[in-house]
Amino acid sequence: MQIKITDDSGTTAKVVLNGKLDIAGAEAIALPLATLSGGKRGVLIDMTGVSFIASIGIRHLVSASKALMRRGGRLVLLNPNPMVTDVLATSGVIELMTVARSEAEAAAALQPQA
Amino acid sequence: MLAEAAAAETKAYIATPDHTSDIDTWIESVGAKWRLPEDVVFRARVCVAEIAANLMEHGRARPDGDEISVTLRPAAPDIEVEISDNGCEFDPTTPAAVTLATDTFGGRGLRLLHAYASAMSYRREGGRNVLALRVGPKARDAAQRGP
Repeated sequence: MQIKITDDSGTTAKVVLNGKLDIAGAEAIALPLATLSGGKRGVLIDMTGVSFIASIGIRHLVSASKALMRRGGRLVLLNPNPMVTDVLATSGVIELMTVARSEAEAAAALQPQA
Repeated sequence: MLAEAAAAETKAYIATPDHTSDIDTWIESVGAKWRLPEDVVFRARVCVAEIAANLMEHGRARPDGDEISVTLRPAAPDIEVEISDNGCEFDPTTPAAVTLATDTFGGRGLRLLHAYASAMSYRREGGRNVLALRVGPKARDAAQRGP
């Protein structure tokens, strides 16, 4: 699992993940994701390159989402593949985050709610 | 049927995060070799990952890691998976496990297991947990399970 923080300059951050979000991948994202979700208002995770996810990876997404939501923020997932999306839906966590299918949709989801 | 039985493949490993990733890659390659649908293999990989994670987090019986053995059998378009481990006794098919799956933070893995396996049976045999699963295409599962 590779994690790359591509934009950390404003109140929101963008992260790109590549690889498997399995037990080993989850270890790799745990600290950076917790740090960002503790300090930003919104976090966008580009999931296009995530080929696999299991509950241990979901756990870190949920923790990040809850940390952001406590401060009125949002976790946005960009383009998870259909199988990864199905895992998120089946495990019952998809309502805790926004799934966006384009950069524009993701940007809109990160805007503060009126 | 005999041809399918002969095609079964087994791999055993110590339950560590790195080995679990290696086993996942192995399941992926076996599924591709047998030309099984990608989503079926994906769901089988999720089931194996969840059992391994559960063993590492809750069922550990040995400090240096327990042993897991995974056997795959093609039953196109399904795949049969048998997961055997020498960790603490744990039956994920029981009603208690289902309650855990729906109620708790750590139960998401069990929820996925129950959703993705179209058939599941457990036995304790020779000091090992043995879980037999059948995983098939999603559309058929939905039809079987009803609304």
